[in-house]
Amino acid sequence: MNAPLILRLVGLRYKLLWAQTRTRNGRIALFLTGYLFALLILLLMTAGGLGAAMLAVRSGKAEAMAQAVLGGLFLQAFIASVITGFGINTAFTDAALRRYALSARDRLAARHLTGILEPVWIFVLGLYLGLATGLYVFGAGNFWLGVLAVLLLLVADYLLARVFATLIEWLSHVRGGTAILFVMLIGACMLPGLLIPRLARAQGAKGAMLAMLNYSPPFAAAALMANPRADLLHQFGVLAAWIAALLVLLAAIEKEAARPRSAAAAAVTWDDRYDRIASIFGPAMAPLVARSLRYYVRSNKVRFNYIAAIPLLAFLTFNHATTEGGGPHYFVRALGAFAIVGFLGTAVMSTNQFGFDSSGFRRYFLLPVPPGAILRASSCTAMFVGSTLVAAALVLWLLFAPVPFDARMVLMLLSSGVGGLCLFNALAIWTSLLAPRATNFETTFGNQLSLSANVLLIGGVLGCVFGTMALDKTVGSATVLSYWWTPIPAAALAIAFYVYSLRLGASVFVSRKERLLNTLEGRN
Amino acid sequence: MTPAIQVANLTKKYGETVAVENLSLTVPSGTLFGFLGPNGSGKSTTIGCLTGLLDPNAGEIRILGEPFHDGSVALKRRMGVMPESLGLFDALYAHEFLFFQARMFGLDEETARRRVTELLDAMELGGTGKKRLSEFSAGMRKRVAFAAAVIHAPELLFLDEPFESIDPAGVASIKQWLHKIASQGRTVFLTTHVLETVERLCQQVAIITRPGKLVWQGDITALDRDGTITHDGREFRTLEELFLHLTGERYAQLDWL
Repeated sequence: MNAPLILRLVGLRYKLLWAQTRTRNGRIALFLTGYLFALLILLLMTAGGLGAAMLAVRSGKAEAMAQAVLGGLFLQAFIASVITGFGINTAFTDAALRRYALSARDRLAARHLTGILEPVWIFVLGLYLGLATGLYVFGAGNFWLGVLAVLLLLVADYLLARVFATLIEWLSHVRGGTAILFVMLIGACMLPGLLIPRLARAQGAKGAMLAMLNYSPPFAAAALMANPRADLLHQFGVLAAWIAALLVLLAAIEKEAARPRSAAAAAVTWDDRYDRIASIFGPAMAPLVARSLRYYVRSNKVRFNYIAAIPLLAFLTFNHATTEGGGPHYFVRALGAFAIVGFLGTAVMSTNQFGFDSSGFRRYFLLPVPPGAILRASSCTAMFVGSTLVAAALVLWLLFAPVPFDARMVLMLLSSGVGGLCLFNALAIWTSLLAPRATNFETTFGNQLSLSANVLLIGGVLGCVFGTMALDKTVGSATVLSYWWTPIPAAALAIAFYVYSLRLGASVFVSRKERLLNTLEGRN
Repeated sequence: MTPAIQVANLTKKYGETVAVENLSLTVPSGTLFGFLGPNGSGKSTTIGCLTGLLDPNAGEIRILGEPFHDGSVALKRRMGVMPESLGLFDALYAHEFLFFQARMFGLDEETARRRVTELLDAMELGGTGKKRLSEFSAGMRKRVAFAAAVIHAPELLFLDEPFESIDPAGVASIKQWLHKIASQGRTVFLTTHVLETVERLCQQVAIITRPGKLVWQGDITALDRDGTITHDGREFRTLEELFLHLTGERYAQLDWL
């Protein structure tokens, strides 16, 4: 194995990360990341890790507590990676590494070593180590055994996220893959709600489940950390078996995904669906909207987010709704879900509207149209695609929501949907203009959004979901419904803000033309 | 006859760096005009300013007799541009991209489709109906970019390195089309580093050096006619000799190579 060269590539990865901090956005991101990292490490290592360890040891249930903490962290790191794309960016592709004197095995090692050394996984490692240190400090575990368990657990976590990300990436490229993804998503969102109550009622199910979980990576790691009587060979065997199985699976999926998918020679066929839809925007805008529409529909990232938006928000709405006064308060939660649903489906592109154009971006300024028309067309496309999600969500609500029909609710949900769509897309205009990023159109995974776009997207989802949750708890659904008219002026304000952003954005687009060119063509 | 391009005292800076300095240039209509210079001399920056991609810091530009700035929408409709980076939308198929370009430049749907089909056949890209532009080879991408520049039959065509990566048959076809365009009184403004091509193709040439300073402009048909170009009392038998003399490019010896 060419270890020196692989290590040099890892070093290059960090140099590239460091190089990103030379931009203004990069410096802000670095500052915030560093600040949050330090703060979270401090909090979690003391409260989450050391604190959990102290509690665990004092209660005499060190292993059970370690299982719960490690299981939670393991799942959260996996979900955060797969859903938000953190920690699974492909720093170097296999094709890019072929220019170096590396064998196939070396290239595999280089790719995954640079992958697992992404800052996100180092952060996860910090959390795991917090628990291991805590358990050792309070006398419930062997430190070096704990460190070894933590390292193996981290590898398993990274590999699991990679397997899923690669699988989804591959599925989004194959025929019928989108349908399979949709079924997988629905399953992932619905199964816990369906299975957990049944399992809770079934005799002996809990014991059987716990017995099964003993063969999971977090439980094996917990036993190594906190159970002095654990069969070390057995627990290490469990972790090693998981790592080996995931490696084999990952290699198989990567091999399948790497198969050339170049289209065979085919005559030109005119598919004017996009042009027909775009014609509703008028003859001047139609070609621009049709172009944008093709980008939205063909982007794996957008497709994945589009199909995931409704199931994900339905899951957050219905699984977290509490009961009060005999009926679930789905409606108030749904207000938040409706506000974000249209934006969530398109945000990966609408928050970075020109980031996917690569050198095509310069063509906009060669076209015989005012630059403002480009921005308008691009944003209107995002609004149009997002509005189909709002409409679909409303239809699904009317058909399936376990709430008696009330016209006020429908009006409120619709206003919330329209208002949210306008508000978030107005903000997306500003992230596209002020914090753009050159992005690879072909990838499905990896978080390639700028800091501002991430704040807007993640903050938007959390704000809407938890904001309405707080509203439900503090005010109550009956009061919310009695003020049924309030979302209407709010939506009108959001529309006005959107129109204003489009107008002002057009002049900013022109004044920042050269800066945008430099950034989007990779010269900044 | 109104010149196709008139540039007076054009200056473009990137921060403190001067990319083009006080460039004045006149390009007669109906010519194949070669715009030459070493790497980094400001050729692409000049084209950027002449096509509305970049905003000059100073100077005046007149295109087809009218003052030009980045908001000159009507003038842009009369121009075709093939930028150095090609400016393709990679998620589109070639025919979709060309149709988009044709529609943006005001062609009706029927004419646009007819020209797209004809251009794809002429460029030997007819079998790429299910291939996105991102999957095209460098040469194929260049052909598409050229097709996009000419699809609306512009009066003034800017081509930045049009022959790089294209196979000899493709280059021959493009040269013939360029001759045809010029013979119809339209103008081609091109940059390339292949001086033999310029020698055989262009009638007029301008040579600039870093940072975007014009050092020579003249008729090179004398090379065909007399076998030499005279400059500063010296005779040059090829454009390359003249170029190297003017730009001061030297052959560096590398002992280890």
